[in-house]
Amino acid sequence: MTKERKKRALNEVVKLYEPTSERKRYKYTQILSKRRFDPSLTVSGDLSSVKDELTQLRDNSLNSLTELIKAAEKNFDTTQVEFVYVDNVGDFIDFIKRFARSRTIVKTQSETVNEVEQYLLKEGYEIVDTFKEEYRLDETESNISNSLYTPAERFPAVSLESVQEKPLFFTKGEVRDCTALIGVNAVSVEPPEIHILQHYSNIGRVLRDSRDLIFLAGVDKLVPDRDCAALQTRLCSLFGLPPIASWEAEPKTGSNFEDLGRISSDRRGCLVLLNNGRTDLLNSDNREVLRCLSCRSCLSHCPAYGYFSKSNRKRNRFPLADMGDIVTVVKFNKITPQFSENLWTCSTCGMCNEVCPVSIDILGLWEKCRGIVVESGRVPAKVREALESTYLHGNPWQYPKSERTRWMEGVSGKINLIDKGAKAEVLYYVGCLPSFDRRAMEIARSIATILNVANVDFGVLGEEEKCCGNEILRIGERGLFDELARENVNLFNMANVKCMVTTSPHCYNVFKNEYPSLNFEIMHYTSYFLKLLVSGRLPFNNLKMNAIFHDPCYLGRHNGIYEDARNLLKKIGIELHEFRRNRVDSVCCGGGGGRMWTEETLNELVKERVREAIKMGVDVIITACPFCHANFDEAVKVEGAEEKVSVMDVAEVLREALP
Amino acid sequence: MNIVVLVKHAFAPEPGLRIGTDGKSFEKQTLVYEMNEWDSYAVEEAIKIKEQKGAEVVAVSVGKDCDDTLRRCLALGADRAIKIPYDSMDSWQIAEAIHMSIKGERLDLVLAGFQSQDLNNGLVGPILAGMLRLSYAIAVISIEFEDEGVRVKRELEGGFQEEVRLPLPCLLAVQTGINQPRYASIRGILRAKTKEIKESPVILKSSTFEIEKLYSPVVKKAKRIEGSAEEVSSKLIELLKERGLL
Amino acid sequence: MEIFAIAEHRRGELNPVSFELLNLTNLLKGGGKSIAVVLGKNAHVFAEQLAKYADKVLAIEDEALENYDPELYSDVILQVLKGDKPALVLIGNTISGAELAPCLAVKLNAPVQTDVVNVEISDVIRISKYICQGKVMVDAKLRNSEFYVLAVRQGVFKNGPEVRGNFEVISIKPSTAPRRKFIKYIEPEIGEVDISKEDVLITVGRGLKDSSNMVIAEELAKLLGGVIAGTRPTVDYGWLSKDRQVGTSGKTVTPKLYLGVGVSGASQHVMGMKDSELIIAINKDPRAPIFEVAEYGIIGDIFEIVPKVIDKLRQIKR
Repeated sequence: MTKERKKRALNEVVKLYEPTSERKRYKYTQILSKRRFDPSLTVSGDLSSVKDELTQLRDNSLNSLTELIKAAEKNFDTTQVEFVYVDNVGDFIDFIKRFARSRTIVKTQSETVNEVEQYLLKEGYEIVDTFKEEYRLDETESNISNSLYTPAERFPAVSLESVQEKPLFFTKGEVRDCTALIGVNAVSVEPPEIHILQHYSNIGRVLRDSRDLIFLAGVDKLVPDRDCAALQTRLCSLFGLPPIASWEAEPKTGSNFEDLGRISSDRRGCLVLLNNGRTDLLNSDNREVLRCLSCRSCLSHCPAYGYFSKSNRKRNRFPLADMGDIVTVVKFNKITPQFSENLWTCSTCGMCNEVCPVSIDILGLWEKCRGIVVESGRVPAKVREALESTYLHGNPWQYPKSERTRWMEGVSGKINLIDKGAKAEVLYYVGCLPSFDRRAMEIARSIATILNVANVDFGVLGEEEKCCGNEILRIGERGLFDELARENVNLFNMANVKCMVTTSPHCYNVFKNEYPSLNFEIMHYTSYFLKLLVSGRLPFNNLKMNAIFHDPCYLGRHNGIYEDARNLLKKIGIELHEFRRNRVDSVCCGGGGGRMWTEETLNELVKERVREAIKMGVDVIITACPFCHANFDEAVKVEGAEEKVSVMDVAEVLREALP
Repeated sequence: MNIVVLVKHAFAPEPGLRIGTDGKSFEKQTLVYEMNEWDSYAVEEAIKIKEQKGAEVVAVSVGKDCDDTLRRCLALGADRAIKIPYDSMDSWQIAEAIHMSIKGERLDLVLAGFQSQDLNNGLVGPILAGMLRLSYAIAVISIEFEDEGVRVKRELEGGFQEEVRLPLPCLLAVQTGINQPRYASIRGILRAKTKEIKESPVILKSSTFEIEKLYSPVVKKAKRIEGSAEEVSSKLIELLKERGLL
Repeated sequence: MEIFAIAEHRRGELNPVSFELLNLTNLLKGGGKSIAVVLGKNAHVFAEQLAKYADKVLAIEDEALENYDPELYSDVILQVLKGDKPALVLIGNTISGAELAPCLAVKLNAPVQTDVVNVEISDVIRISKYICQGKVMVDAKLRNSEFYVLAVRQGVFKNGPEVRGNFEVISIKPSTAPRRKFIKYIEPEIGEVDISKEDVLITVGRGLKDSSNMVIAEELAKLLGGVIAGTRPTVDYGWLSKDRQVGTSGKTVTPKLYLGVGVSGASQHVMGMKDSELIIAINKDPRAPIFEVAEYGIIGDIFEIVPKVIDKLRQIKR
């Protein structure tokens, strides 16, 4: 990557994350666990160009990994620190036994350090964690085992200018009898440098005070030169977690080791490059995982992390989790306990993929891991029941097939039953929830009514309609999905239609993107109705409504369709409010990924969304997905706000506008 | 260890099921079949024991069309399956057929579900135990292996439990909730096609009873509160007021 | 035909089903005698109570019979029955009775049925029983045999005449050595709420579909001044703790108001609540057996009806 390209990439990134006027300066917060949902955290602008640069940068380094390792070995040889390449954790333990003069290890917050931690504890080392739940700025001295080493403050996504490169300051004089174990953000091969993103008072103190210093870097952190290292390291500061430290703190980065040797002859430093399966990963399907910078962008935007359920507030455990965890999972095809704890909270909203600066298909990895668990059989009982029900009854809700057409009762006008041999031009694919659930049925009824008013020649698959399989795929049951797809494709071929319209964006998504190519057009009903309206086939009256539109993940973020529903509503006269986070930033309602069956309690985020709507004085929250519809409906009930705001799907709104 | 687990390919007693015109049987096409819920706990228990102590698990089922259920057992971890290709509603007949079919098997433990979800007799396990002259226990909610056999807890009425010890071989009929049954993925079921399902050549002996009539019991007592949800809720509240409960 | 009713007891108390069996026996005996059989180490303590409703009571005592054991008990009953053919043996369809009945039946080579709710003796024996978890009834005739063993559902034959027969205490040793060994009874855990002491119970079943819907039931319970109880599946699923379970393997309750929400009424559950003062059930399945024990039944969708009830109750409270 040329110097100019790197500089451009840097500037693009700076512009994207320029703090808006709404971002206030945050004071120190006492307790990390009270981290609040930050509605100002948006993914604005077009990330695609910068993503490519960064992805390229990472790929380049990874592609030349073997050469970089050789070069690093050679270059670091001339520095004051030892250079050790360890293939696995066992080798690392051997190394530390030889190198460390103290059995007390003081560690910084680092994923690579976490990879080795359990093994160190087994060997009887005492480990002092410098990242605790409470922040204390006071620098009073006390003994090593308590929180003298105050935790790192996550600093805000500041503009790059304030992230400066400075050499580290090593104390002269007396040092503590302990071994520091420090994670590393990037290792530059030429010139040989270690880059660490440092926060005020944490790593600095660890580095200042410890007798032996072990810098632990995964081999994937090797980059060719200083510019790459600086870019990579600073990106972590930019994409990092929501700001909770004062902007007054001056983050520092960068260090070199000439200082170390100069300060004290008793102190030693070593750079350890840890492989632990990473080069194996390079040769596998999942090599993209190695591009990860641990920037935490995915975590800070993930609705499941910390918000969907209280028990998920375990830091650094997902979506991508510890590199060590990922390596174990994909290398040994085995799910670690950390993974299985959180595995089912993912709603597959896709925010992680959207914000990852190095284009890792995190969502895909999540689904792969779920697939491993599904094949092992160890899924939660509710998941098992949903899957078995889909196999047995063609829907995950345990309703018998015979009830699938009950939604049709009371719909005026004709509905062609394709399963009984009728023919039609348009196939209305109803979906499972709208077929069986009392409340969701209203959406299907509204759609059928509108289709009739517009004189569309449409039909439904009736009792023979089967689950589309989107959530089955997201749950990881590929075998069941293949069977469903096969059966559905047969049905579609028999139906011989020109176009298919779906109620749910989930169905739309899977038919469009995962099914073998179908010989008819597939549309979500909002797009189809817009088409009808624009071509004059749909009569309507103007409707005044104080409403807001919630972008469903599977229509918006996954398929890039943001404006059809809005245009449709605008055309019938409704002026829409907008949520602070809308379109690609839309906050997932928590319904996808199998959560409609697995999650026991309604999540905080959708309640927060309802509160936001109420604060804006909105009367109606308009959804375009039966899952969003169900979750928002329940959230309104749980908030006790039925008097203040109601929830309607686009079809229900349009039905009111019919003459 | 050698474990035989009894599974039934049973129908789910759903609202859709209909009694045939002869008044003595069910309309086949209204029935949806699956592995009997109680038996899925028995199968899981067998596989757990296999994982923990090592065992050969043989699944046995009686039914003309029980292949699906047997294949699912194989996918879950059973080693072999025996199919007895007859349909019967008589527990004694079924127990006898199973008795004949597993005569040559080495038996350390026989596991069964407490009852079937469709007929709810709870008899096949205990009758089989009698025929095999095995010691047995039903309504088992925990199994622990000891030197001399097994120690099990039985779930009694009123939340009480009874702890008993049985020698091996024995038969245990397990209750729901004894474990968390695992899921058999479609791919797993396809892979299990390589495992053997052997058809047993036994013939059923005569039945111990004859069905004269099958019918929906008359809803005798309940007075219906009718109307729309709105009306029904009002009437319910009135009723509660009348009875001094509000 | 001789009819024997096997009484059941535990920890010094007779199970009421023992008397129900005698009521049935007295209905069926025709010109014959109703005979109660009770086994135990000190079976004689039960003899007098049973004799109120039986022509004859055989109290069989032996050390080995101290704790219930299906093999030993059926061995001893077999010895009692020897020679008395044909004979019908009635056992209560309790968890232990349902265990004992087939054991005895195999020893006698007798047709056996469980959960029987009706018996007719003529040239053949006919029985009626529920299947499909209470949704379907079967009438069947048993094959001719020298012995018959029937496990009779509890709570069906609750009333019957006093007979005031006599009793006999006999000592019979089982002819086999015990294989199964009783260790101990385990008491149920005490939970935060004792549903058997509550006046109003909102009982939820599988019809609730998901524990996230529990909020609706909880709201209703709060507004009616009651607490939540559940059926066995709701406990199996982990929605509720065991101390909330109503039914034979849970608690027996007799509240002033039992409101079943999405409860189908499986017999084991009904056993535990049928004596409630006012039973109202809401279920969308018109064939749900709960409607046979409920005083008022609402056939409808709980997710439509319950929220409306909650609304109205809230308005009243204002």
